[in-house]
Amino acid sequence: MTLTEQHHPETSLRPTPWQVAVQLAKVESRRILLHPATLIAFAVAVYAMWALHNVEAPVLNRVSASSVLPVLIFAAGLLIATSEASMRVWKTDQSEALDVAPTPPRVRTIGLLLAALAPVLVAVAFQGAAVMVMTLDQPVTAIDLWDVLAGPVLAAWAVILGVAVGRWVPTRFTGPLTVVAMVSVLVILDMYFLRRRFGVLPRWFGPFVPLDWEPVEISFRPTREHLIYLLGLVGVFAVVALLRGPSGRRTVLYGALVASLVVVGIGVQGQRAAYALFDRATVLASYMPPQADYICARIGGVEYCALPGYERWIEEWAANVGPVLDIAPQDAWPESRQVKQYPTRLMDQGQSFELTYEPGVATGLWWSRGPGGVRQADAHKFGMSLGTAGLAVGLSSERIAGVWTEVRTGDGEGEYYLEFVPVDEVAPGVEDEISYYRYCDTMHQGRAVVALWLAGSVSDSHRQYLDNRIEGMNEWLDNGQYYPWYLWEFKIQEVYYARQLLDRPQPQVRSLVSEHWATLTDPATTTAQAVRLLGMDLLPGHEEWTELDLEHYSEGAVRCR
Amino acid sequence: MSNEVHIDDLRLKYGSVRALDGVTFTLGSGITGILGPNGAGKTTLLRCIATVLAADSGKLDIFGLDPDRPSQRTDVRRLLGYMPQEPGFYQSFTCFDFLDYIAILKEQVDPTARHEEVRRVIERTGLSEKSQTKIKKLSGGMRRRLALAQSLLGDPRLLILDEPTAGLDPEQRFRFREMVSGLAVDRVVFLSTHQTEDVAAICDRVLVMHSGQMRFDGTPRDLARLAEGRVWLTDVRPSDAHIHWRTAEGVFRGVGDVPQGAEIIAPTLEDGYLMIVGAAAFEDEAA
Repeated sequence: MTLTEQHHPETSLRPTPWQVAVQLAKVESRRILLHPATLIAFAVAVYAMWALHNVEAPVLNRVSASSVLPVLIFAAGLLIATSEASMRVWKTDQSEALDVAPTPPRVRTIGLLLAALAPVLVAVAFQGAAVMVMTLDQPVTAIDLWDVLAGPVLAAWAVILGVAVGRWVPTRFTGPLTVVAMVSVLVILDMYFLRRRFGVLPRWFGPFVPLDWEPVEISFRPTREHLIYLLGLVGVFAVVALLRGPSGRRTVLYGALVASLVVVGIGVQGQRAAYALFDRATVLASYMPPQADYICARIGGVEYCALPGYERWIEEWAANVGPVLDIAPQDAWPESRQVKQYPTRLMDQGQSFELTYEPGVATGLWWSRGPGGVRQADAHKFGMSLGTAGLAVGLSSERIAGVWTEVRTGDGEGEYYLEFVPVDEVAPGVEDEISYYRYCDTMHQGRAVVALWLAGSVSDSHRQYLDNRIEGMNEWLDNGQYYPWYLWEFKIQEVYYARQLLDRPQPQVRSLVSEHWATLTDPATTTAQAVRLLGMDLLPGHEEWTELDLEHYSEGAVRCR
Repeated sequence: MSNEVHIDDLRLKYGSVRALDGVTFTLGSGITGILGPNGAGKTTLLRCIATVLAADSGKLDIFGLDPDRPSQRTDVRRLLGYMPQEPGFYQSFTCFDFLDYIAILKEQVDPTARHEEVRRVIERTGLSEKSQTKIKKLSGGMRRRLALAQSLLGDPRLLILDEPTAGLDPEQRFRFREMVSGLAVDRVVFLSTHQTEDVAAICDRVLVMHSGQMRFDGTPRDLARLAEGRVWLTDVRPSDAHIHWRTAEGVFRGVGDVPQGAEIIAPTLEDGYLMIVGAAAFEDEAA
């Protein structure tokens, strides 16, 4: 029996340093997670993820790339909380009661490092929940698992970096200043001149692989190799933390440091090699029509063709196209019944690609999303139906439907319009660069009312969408004081007339429409004539406003034929 | 098996100041108090015994263990409870959480047993009602109790208390004395204080320290006896006493040479302490 055992009868039960470290980890993890900085950061991260989901979903390739950002916010809070906890462990002469405890600072540091496990689990749950919600939302494209895994690793990365900086610079400003430094690094890395000068170099240095300025479809992000780099950094930070203060295992620590640096090197080299091997031209070719790797399906006599990864949208397109054709007369849209996806957004990224459009409904990669990727609620569905209805009433055979771009109206509010390619400038097989704000105008054409009615007949939500567009304007319309401002390419009164038709029994309207189909779809038939044919009354002041409109917009407008 | 703490010729300097100047004594079971003016070296001595500080020279033997040797220092730490003047509380912790944290550092890894131990010391120090209160919301008296509570975790064989009654009101000091008195059984308790009443009330033995040197080592009664026949009362302010002051009754009480016509009274422990400290102060002045 040793001397210590004589004094300490429980010596045989004395715990190992690891057992102590695990208990400390439990306490520290709870404190780190309940630290105000962590809680605030987590709340902001949840909000950011929610906003991101609402903005980006359900297109997973973008979401998985962006979902690391909310975790970074969480990581910032963790870093602050952990550096503070680490400072608590280290500051001597501040807590003599701790200094004389038999547990040495090294074990306390290990306890803190182990405490990273809890935030990692939180990050796993957080990312998992986000992915699950996205998956339930019928997403398209594929999620990058390495991207998702980067979230939990970043949580560990932040905790262990917090421990390291807290141990070496034990001040209450260390954590916040480190966060500021990391944000600065991110901002600097994103600077154009740096990318231009050093190419891929800055990309592997940051905590996550940023989305390129290129569209995600043709962007390359070596997320797997970057994850290795991050794991190496976690090891480096952990060793740096343990190197502070007395330790009898310096050799082991230096060995671990070298091993971690090797992992970092592997991650860096892996990323550089992956970038070098990436064949952008081949990927781009798979998205460029007509040779693109389309996935096509024929549903209800219409052929739907989606670009790689977007095939799950085919069913959604069909749900918004089929009902229009069911309601319209049989001979509506007799030819080229095709809905095809084009990589339109690729061209928005500063690239000058040339696209060849085929007859039919054309849609883009950002169907369901508007400017900035903002989810469009039901707008994209209505747009797809309206595009089909437009073809049905013979509006044009070449157009882009459901690609929503922003138009600023005079009062500064954003409005979205259904984009139509000028009929005169695009013919089948003719290559053209799409120019926004050039579209044909159906102003005061009776077939606009029919097209809106057809689109609004698809579902209650479609009808509701039209209601929302004229909400609050009924009074103006009823007393003739309405102002004929732009609402897409239609006039507000045409929406109003379509809405009147939707309130009537569908068979009755359908019969009238079928009866006068040839007249109603004639470009020369005015809205006023169509209204009378369909048995409705004109709004007060309709004729006067039409005259003013035609005078006002006669210059520069391309009339739809 | 040793149950004593031996301090042998301990020396430590802060620059040119001799904080410990050849201190030698032995601590056994029971409560030993150490008195001394500010700067006497009491806290330095306690910190050396508590393994916070290493002396420049001399030898410390704590229950047969040498704290200068790293392996044995940890063993010493397993046996001691230390209540420093400034425990360095984590303000955002509750009392329970703080004690739980310290208990882990004292290698208590079984959560059930540890929590029971925490509750035990909380109850013993009268902190039950404040168990879930954050430390930043505690009064000074409550914080002293908490500091004592953390030192009691693990039922240490050596308890070192540095100024445990500082900042406490009379009622709290009374309670504290009661608490500490109950701890002395089969345990070495070593406390420093300015309060001679504390020593008189709870200590079996008293040390007096001045300028890094031990000036007295004996029982409280022995310390009081040092002033036997040299404590007096008089109606007029004396001119040649070491130390004197006016009492609540309006007469002058003094310690030292008895003035003519003064009434000699029975000395207290404080009188003995003042005799030593006063004499030491004169020596320092003369030096």
